[in-house]
Amino acid sequence: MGITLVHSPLWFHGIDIVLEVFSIIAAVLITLVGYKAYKLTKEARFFYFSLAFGFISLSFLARAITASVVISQLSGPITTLTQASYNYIENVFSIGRFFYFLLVLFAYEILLVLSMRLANRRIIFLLTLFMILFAASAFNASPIIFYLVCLFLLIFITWQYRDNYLVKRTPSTLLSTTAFSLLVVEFILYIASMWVQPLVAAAYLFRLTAYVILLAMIVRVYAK
Amino acid sequence: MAERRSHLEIVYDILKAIQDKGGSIKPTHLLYKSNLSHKRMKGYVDDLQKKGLIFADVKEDERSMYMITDQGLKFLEEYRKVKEFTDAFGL
Repeated sequence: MGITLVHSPLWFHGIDIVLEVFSIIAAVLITLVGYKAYKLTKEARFFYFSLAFGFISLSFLARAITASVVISQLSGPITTLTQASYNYIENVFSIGRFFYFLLVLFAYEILLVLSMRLANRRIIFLLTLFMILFAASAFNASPIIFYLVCLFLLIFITWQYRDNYLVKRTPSTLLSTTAFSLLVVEFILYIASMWVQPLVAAAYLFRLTAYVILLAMIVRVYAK
Repeated sequence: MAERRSHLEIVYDILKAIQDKGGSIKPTHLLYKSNLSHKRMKGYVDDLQKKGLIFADVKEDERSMYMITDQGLKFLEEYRKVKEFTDAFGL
């Protein structure tokens, strides 16, 4: 039975894990800096910010582990497998992908709530329910809904960061706005990759660049 | 209308006011610079002294000056970094 296991070109398998590792390091560092801010100030918003990037770090980790397991099960470029192997890989892939989707959606939801300063707990609860449903809807199905929801969340987060930049106009606000704009492009490329597969590689590169920019911002602030 | 300052922002403003005056400040100047009532400023000053961020240096003429400690200077530096980082995300 011929199947497409991973929605990316075969030549990109392995490279994606390396890029993922760089993004994990950057996301973990942002998590730690956010937590440091929380420890100093004891303000809940810094804890939630740190939690959001913690979720992002874990989501990258889930995806990297899933990709490693799937790739290790594939020998060479041939993706025609026995039914048992297919079932095993499909289960690993679906579960890994579900956790990746859920963690990313939770992370972007938290960043949206923080950036828009939403305080109504019922709206936040409703948003959380939607995120669980969106992640579940992509289980064993096309990820297009997940990509679209992430894209819209990121557009609104970036919009807020842009407004923040226009008010404060510091290099740090500019860097965070630029990084999140690149994450918007990342998800546009994921959607486009449903039709033009090699664009997945470009999406990964955009994401890596975004995290390198966020890292540069941290280094700039803390190396002064 | 200006937003209310958080506890931490007031602490920062008090320490910054002392630092800007070269590390020591008269209570009356601090009262003016911190933009607080006398009662509230006293509460903050007592709290900062307990935490070792400032100390009161009583002169022979019994006029006291508030001085910032090394720990206070370190806190200011740390707070500035955290603030720039969190400002970048509009937090």
